[in-house]
Amino acid sequence: MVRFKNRWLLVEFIPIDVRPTNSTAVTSKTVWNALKESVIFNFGETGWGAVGGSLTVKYFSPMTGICIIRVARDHHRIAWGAVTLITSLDGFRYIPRTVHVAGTIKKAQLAAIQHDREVVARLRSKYKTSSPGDEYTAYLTSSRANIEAIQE
Amino acid sequence: MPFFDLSLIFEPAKQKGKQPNEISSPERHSLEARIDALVHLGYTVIAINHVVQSKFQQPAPDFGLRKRDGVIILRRLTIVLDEASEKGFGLTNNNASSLASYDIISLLPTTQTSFSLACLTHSMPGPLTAHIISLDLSSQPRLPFYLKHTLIRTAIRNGAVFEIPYAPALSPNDEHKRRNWWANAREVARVTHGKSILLSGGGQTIADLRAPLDVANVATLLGIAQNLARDALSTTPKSLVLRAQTRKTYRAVLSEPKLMLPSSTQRFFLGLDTNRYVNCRASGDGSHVYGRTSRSSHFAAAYRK
Repeated sequence: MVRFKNRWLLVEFIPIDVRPTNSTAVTSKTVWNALKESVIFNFGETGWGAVGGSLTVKYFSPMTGICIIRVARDHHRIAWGAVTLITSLDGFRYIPRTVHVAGTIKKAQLAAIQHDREVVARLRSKYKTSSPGDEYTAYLTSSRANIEAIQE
Repeated sequence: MPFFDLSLIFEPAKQKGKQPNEISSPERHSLEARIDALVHLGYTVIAINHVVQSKFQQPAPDFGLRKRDGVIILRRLTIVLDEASEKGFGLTNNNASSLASYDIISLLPTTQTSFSLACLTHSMPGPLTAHIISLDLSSQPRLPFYLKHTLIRTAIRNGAVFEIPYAPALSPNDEHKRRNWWANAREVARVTHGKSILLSGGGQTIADLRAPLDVANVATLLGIAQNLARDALSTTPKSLVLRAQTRKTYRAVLSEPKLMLPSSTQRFFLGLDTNRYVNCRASGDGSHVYGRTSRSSHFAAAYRK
């Protein structure tokens, strides 16, 4: 028997518009809805039929804007294309950028943790803070725990 | 492999009381912001695309952009060819000095006549070569002319590439634009067999930018093979930029190779020392010889290009 194969897309949503603080936060549900809309919008019912059964958003981090999307390997390019063609979430514009495409959940998790560290390093150099016990360290620990908790 | 985006659109706004060869500060801010976004997305070579309608008159101003480490910013000129420009659109020797300020010249034909002009006449090597043939993929459901195979083949042989800008595929409010783009981009991919294609941005705002591998994936949905889609953002533009540099050199010579006579050991490996060469062959070790010859002929072929 051959196991069922997936692709794991690690996608970063780069915000363009500044969200007002009182607006509802983006969740993985929002991303999933936007993704579904984009697949149907660009690839029609056939496209949604090909990827809809397996498409799930496994993780979304509002702080760094990264999410992990699972899709069956056969038509993952449709899902990937639909991710690229997303222009906005909840009416706010974003640039989706695929950071990594992984064949197993493990590699997707590792790439996500790596990416989190890079983002935090960038923020730190921007605000010139490097104390070991600051909020970023706490965030890294918690996000790492969250990412590692993702089950297939 | 570095990634290239050879189309960061710069269309100077027409305002009263503003010199046409001046850049206003909002325009510069927009360029800077878009370059920052492109760098973040992973591009390292960016061409600012100055688009002019029907006729080239004067070069774009000095953009005065901030220097960035490890990022190369080029200047590109695109002339949109319409019926008015069939008699001449400024790519003449009189303008050669002002055209020399651009790294790449490209043409965007919108009529049959100007398309064959772009493919046949202006792709010939010389100081005024237009290396990129861009097409308006999104304004009409079908291209205004048939992409004849002979024209395409001549243009590609002369070293021109065909451009597919991806920004119209993202236009959220205009479904006709998107549909037209998918149909016409497929057509371009079909006639070129996916080779000699350049994928580039072509957007006016930050929201129209996408990361290189995302764009390559969208291109595979157009029926371009994976490796060729990736090449369209890296190797093709790289060789294009190199080729475009030959516009500024005498007879397209890029460097002057020096002849160095090999020492006796090297002569042996090159297979020039016939006595030893025979011995070497007899011992069944001719790999060096064949390796060398094939590589040198490869260089010769590259030179002829």
